[in-house]
Amino acid sequence: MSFREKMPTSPKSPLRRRRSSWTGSWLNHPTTSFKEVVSAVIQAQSPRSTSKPQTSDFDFDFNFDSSKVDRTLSLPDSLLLRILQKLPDSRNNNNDVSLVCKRWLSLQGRRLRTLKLLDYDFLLSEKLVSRFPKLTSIDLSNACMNPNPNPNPNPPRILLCHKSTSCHVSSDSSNWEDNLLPSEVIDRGLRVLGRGSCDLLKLVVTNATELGLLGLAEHCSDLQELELRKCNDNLLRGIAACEGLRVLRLVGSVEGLYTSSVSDIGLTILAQGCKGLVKLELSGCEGSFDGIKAIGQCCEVLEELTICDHRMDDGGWLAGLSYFGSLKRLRVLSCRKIDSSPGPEKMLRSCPGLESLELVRSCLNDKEGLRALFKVCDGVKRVYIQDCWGLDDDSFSLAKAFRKVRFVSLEGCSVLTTGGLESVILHWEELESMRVVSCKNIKDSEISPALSSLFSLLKELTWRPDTRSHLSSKLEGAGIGKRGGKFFKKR
Amino acid sequence: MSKIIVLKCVGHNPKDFELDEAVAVQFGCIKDLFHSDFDAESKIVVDVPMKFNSYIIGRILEFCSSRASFSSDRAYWEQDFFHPCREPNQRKRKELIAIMEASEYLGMESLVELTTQSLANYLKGKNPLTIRSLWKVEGDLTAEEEAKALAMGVAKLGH
Repeated sequence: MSFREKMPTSPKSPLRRRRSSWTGSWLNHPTTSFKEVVSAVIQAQSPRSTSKPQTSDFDFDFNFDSSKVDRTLSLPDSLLLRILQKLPDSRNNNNDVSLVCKRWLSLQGRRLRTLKLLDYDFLLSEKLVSRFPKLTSIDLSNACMNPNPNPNPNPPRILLCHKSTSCHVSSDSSNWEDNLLPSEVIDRGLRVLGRGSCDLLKLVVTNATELGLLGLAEHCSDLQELELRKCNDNLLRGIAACEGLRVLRLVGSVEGLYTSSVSDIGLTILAQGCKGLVKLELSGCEGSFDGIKAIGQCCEVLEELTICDHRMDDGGWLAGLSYFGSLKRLRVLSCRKIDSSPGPEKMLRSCPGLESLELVRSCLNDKEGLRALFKVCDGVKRVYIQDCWGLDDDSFSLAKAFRKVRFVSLEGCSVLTTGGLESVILHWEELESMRVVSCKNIKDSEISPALSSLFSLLKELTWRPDTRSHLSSKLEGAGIGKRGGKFFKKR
Repeated sequence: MSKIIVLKCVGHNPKDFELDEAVAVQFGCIKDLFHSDFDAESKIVVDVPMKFNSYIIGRILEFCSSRASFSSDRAYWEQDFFHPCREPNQRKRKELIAIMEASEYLGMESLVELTTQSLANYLKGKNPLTIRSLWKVEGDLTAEEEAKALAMGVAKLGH
């Protein structure tokens, strides 16, 4: 027997007020206090509360008829949370629903997963962990900078930005490191974070010590990604406590900001402590062959290694790459030289599993280092060279050492000529796709028949070497892009 | 051979609703009863708590029967009912909240989803003052806490 009931008749609400009167009453109200405005709105509404809905066959006994009762109080937290989760993220603070009441504030706080902290006191006072208990990713690096170290109350403010970190500095601060919060304060914050019982997965912190790290790792055993800025050898002693670590980024020295030394000792401690690492980035770190070799031998599942602005002045680190059994991707970013003394060639063995090599914003003038790098990476299948300087025809000819290249991307290599490019890529028998962008000395007019027949065999080709002439031809007649000229005429 | 489920509503206007299988399996708390080893002819009586009055249960059962029958009126019905934002009708909103609670109790995931989405659509873009006045929520944040929440120096990166 199927269910049948009469359709409910909907009684018309006898007093139907338009929404504009609510907004009108608080917009035009002379006072600025929230409470006064809210009570004014409630008073304006009070005539409605005396109206009773008409009774009908269908009991309409909402016994919460009284207008004074908070209708959402009866909702369990789970339902209210579901409603809040469906709301879009509010960038406009004025429409942030967490300002409705304390309960909504705490429920909204439970939604937040990622946070970039700007004020360290918020963490130290334990307000952060109580308001946002479900955080999984937190970036403390901005907050680790003391915004006002200068006792002068109104110092001129300069905004200093370095990649993702920014802070205000005063013009008379000669030593930027004074801007950093002391390590004890940072450690205290890390201990508060650890006790806060959020299931932290990712953390970025500057100027911590091993005590703080141990205090955090004791409670946050699921930590998977860690970025330690202004890292030193001592700090790495605490890293073995983070057993689940998969991605690690160490920043030692940053030019113009701070100096900190991560040497072979630190790298060896790291290698023994974090055997499950999958991705590692060493930025501004020192060290040499021993440290790199230790990492290669201990971190058996490491797949990606990034060397950024290294200070490995002693040289010889390239030879350590052959110890990396699982390494698939090597990235060299912003390095002034590749390797000052790579050692004899017979000591340089190929890195077995390497598939991809990226050279970005680095100086490739160092031919010996480049030769050693190409020899160690001779099995790669993908090569990316972007915005590097010093890559002339002679240097690029060293790339003939690559035996299995299938894809090459050259961007911003402004010294390389068509002849230099041709001599190398004709050598690569397995080449399938190529990308050449913004290399101004590679001219279409210099393409030889051999090169053009190679182009026809490739599966994919992006050929835009001379973008400047492309741009000017597109702007022809538009009057833009010419030097000088008058844009404004005298009346 | 068909089992009969009876929903017994107490309260202001007590009523018993008899459901057939197609409707009753939509309730998470009831559908298990159909797969158990009851005597086929037996009646199973489910007591509904007093706070869910028979009108609300009636509305929910309308929804279920329209779902079960895949009737063409369903879209119109849902549109009429689930968009209180189009018509600022306080009665409808109260009804919506009551239906949401009842459907969560009865285990109807699809209806909970529809009602929560509908309420969220209604709340979108409204500022906290309006929300407080609409639902008589007591704003218990002090002025200091509000200022802190607004300009905490904390930037959200999103979820």
